[in-house]
Amino acid sequence: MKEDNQIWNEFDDYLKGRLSTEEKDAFHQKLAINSELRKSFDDYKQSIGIIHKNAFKRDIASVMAVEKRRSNQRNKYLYIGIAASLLLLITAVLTITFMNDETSDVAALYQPYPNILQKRDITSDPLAIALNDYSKKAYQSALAKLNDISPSNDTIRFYSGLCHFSLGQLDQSISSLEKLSPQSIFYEQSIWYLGLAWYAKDDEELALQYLQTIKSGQFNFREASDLVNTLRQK
Amino acid sequence: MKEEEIAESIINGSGRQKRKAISFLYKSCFPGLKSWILQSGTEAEAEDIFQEGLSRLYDSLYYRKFNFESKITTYLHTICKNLWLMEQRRKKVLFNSDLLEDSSELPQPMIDQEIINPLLQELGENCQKLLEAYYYENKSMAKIQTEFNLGSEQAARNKKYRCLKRLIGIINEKGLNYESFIK
Repeated sequence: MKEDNQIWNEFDDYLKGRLSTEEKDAFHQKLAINSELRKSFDDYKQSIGIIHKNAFKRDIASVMAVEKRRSNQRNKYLYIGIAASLLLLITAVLTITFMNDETSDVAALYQPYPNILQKRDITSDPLAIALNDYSKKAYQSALAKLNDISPSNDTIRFYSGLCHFSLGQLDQSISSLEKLSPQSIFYEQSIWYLGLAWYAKDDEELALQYLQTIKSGQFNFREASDLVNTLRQK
Repeated sequence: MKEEEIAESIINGSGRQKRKAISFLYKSCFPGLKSWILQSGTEAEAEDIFQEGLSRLYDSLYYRKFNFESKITTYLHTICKNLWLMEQRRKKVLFNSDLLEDSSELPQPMIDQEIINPLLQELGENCQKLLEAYYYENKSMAKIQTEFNLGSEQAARNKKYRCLKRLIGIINEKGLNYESFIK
């Protein structure tokens, strides 16, 4: 088992592009001279390929269904608009009322995530300085400082996303939060904020897509479940 | 989205990044393809062709057959167009027996899912989901441990090992190989 596991770990590193050029060359050489290893690699790659392909096909179907529903919805609104301007006026009034309700819902649900670096030395650490502004709700200034830090990382992306959210810049917030890798310590939290951002943008399907993945024990599970129930009842 | 970003998201991205790439390709390619197919087919056929085209694009990226000499969107468009032309030709052959002389050039039936589904059924849902979480969604072992209620990261690793070994075993038992899965 140990031996297989070691070999598979090397295959993983190769397929996921984690090997350096030298390591990759060495790996290619090993494959060229060792037919048993080559067979093992083919079996491995083929098995992972099946898993990938099956999941990818499922994702294609699900994304296409969402996009189609969206497009149908857009067309429906267009026809309504052309057909009756009076109805459009009423719809606009209703939409504004609805959006106001939603905005107040979001305001009640949105709590900026605490600054986890509060205890760091804020005189020398640029991230701590930026997050100090964030703690003081000086989001514009925090954003400017976060943007200046290079290279960027998931902590910076997460807090930048929250600054944008707090400033009502939902598209930028989503774009920042979506870049977090699943390995990030803020990944679970980002799912909640992404769900909330889509909800604030009135895209209930995408909001549901995120919120439904929050499981028991994960960040804001109760709030997410409540919101999912509300959205399903609509 | 940039070309490299699309490929990277599809092969090495998280589930979310993959769906984002699919969504991007859908928005970039599907409307044009649909208009073209609607000249001689239906919207449902356009959707089927696009799904199949994306699936083949995936194969090309995963098995590194795509060389980035053309744009991914152009490549996808070409695959879809060819698939539709093949489908048109197949229909003509079916409806016009005079053309059956050309049967050697008929496209092969689409068999991959027919092979994959029973394999995955035999593997079991839990194993399939765990392998998907690690390989497809690129989740960490720590996350998998929590999601699958496993005692430790090592237990998650062991489970992943057993599931993969089982899958390879099933494939070998059935005497399947690379060509069996690629259309």
